[in-house]
Amino acid sequence: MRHELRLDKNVVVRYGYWLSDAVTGDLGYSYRTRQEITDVIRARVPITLEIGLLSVILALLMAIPVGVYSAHRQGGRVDRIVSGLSSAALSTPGFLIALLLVYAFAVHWKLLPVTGWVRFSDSPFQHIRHLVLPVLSLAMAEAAVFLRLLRADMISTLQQDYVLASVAKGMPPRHVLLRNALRPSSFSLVTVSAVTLGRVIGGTVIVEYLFSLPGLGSYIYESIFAKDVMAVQGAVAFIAVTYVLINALVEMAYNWLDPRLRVGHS
Amino acid sequence: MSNIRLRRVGALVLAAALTVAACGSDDDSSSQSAPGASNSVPTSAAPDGSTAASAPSASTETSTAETPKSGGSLTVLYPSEFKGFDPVVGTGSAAGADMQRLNAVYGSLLYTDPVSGEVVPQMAESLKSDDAKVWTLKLRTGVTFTDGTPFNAEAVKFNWDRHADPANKSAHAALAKLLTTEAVDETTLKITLPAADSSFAQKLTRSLPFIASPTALQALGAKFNESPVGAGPFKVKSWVRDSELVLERNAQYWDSPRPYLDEVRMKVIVDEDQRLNSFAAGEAQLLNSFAPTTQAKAKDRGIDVIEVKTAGTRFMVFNTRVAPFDDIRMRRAFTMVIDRQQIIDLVYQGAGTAADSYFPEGSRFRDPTVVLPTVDIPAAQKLVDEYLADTGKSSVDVEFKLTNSGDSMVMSEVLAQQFAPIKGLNFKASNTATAQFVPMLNGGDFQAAVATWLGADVEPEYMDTFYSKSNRFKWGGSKPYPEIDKLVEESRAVVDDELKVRNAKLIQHVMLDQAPMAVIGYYFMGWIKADSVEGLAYFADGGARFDAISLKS
Repeated sequence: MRHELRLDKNVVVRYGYWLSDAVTGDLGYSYRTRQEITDVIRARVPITLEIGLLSVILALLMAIPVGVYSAHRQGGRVDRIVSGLSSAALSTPGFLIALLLVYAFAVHWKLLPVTGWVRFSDSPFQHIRHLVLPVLSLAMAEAAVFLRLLRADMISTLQQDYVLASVAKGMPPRHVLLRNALRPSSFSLVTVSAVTLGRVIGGTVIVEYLFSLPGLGSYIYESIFAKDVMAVQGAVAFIAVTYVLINALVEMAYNWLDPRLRVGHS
Repeated sequence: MSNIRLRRVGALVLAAALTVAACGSDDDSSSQSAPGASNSVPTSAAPDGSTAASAPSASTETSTAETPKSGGSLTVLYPSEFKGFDPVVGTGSAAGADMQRLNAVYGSLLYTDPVSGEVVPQMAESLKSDDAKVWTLKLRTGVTFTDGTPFNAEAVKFNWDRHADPANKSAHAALAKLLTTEAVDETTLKITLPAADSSFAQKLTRSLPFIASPTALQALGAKFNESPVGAGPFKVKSWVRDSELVLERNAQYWDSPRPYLDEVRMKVIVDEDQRLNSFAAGEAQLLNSFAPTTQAKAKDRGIDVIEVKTAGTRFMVFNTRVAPFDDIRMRRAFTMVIDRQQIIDLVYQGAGTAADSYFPEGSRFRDPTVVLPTVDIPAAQKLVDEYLADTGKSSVDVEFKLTNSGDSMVMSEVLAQQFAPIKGLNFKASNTATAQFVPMLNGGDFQAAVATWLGADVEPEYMDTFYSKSNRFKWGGSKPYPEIDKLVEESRAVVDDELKVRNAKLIQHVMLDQAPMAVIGYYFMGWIKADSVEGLAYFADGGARFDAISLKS
């Protein structure tokens, strides 16, 4: 057993073995389940990725219109209410949001399932029903972050000369807000959304645990408690690489978002 | 009301796969709080070890007035996932983990009746021996695995040889390696042990009861763990690990019309509150609640908990192979520190009873002259001081291992608080996943641990626990207790139930002196079920037998 796990080698040599295997896609096998860790990640990542992506998209869908409107009507009644709600969402732990949603929608009204996972191929409708609460739980706190960020950037952008010029030319508010102000105000939002996606992929542990979703987060949770070192190591390495890749993609997206950067490069 | 509910003296091994006596008396036993429960649980007739031929439905299941209805889908919730279906991978012990799933797919050759303590055949027809050394396992004729492979003596031999092969790293290799087997004919396997052992039948039920298709094992290799082929009541339809295992009825099951259910969905919900939420929302019909905290929360929410009174105990066990518990003074000191009632009140929220002896009232193994020590901090401090003085240390580190169940964190805090007054003691508690807990105990990789024993008979685990020559547990026996060894060997050499009971009582006196463990409380497991579920029956370790369960229309 010691030989098989290379425990008879020193730690640097062992790390070298692991690294050389890892770059070829071999993350070893779990001694708990005797499964190849790469296979497990391949099977579970789509679930985590789906929840992560949908929650970020949902958070953006909630945050952008509200953020734009709040910035437009800065200090107004809606802005003050939104500000209060976002503070509440930010200061409430994710697991509490999840449990409150479960009590309301699953236990009390019985509209949605408490836990579980159904493959899309088995039943698209049930698949979506099982997604709602986990995605909503993750999205609510993230939406509050996005909203505050966008609102602050928009307020700043709306005071720029070119925006004022646009207003002075009589452009309608919708055009000014969406065409002139939103795009240059969204750099921070894009950066944070991407970082959030990376973080959500690695941080769905609580949500996957609460909703019994067979994703990467619950795998890490189980593996930590089982002291399944190879599994934790492989999953964490995968998440770290994904996080770096997402950030690299964001860097590239800047060029697309801001023509000034393209000009700068050329 | 089904009187299946009347006999729930099942048992559960939550963590350590150890066994305590069959529980017994009418007034003590079972399920006073269970809806519709009666007061009747017969005192166990001890397994004689030599035969095991009664009908499988003899005593754990009482016949219902109506014939069970066939059909329907049952969803049952578990707190954790299990390792897999390969019999060499599954531990075959913890009721909440492996045993129930494995039995649903393979059936058990034999199992221990939780009420009578007798070994009862399921997939086998009988197990007999005249001298407790040479045993004859008789199989049923005409049984096949779901892939068509005959369920015969060669298949059993193949499976047991696999356990014995070191390459497979079976958790049950210790027993398998002892066996010399010979397939006499299609349905007869001759088993020869190195020495007479009247507890062999019970050992078999715990270690080697699951037989997989040799054809599939060879064809599928490592994939078999996820895609098993058995001859039991159900087949695997799909399995998403850590989420849901879906089993479908095996129409070729030998014991038709069983199983009654068309489908069993076994869902894993790690979070305790979410398990109860899921049950309350009507998403499941059955919930295996061995955590007293779950039981307490369920009661708070008005959900009935079927209390399965057992002879089991929660206890702390000391590993006498390592310091400081290789020193009897430290073991004795620890038994004098724990406040059992406080643990029951704070950790288990009143579930269970503080122990006063090694076995509860009503157990035939209870000896009224064996009385556990009470809390005595000054005396415990004196023993610890003596230990420190002799070893030249100023303090001693002690790490307690617990499972990662919901109540373990509270237990850690309560124990830390109880041990705080002892000067020179650095107490630490750490948690291990339930699936890893038993292997950790068996491997002896701990100083002290909090675990649970349940079962129907002192054989084999209880006897093995402190038997220094046991190949089952690698702890407790490093400093052999010669008296215990002698008593165990004496009772195993012959088939004599009275001798077994007598020796089990004598062993308790040695334990009282040597303090290899500190009992906390007597323990029951709970089942939470919907009204539609009928025929709930148990194995000796508390696992539900899904072949017996049916649903009302």
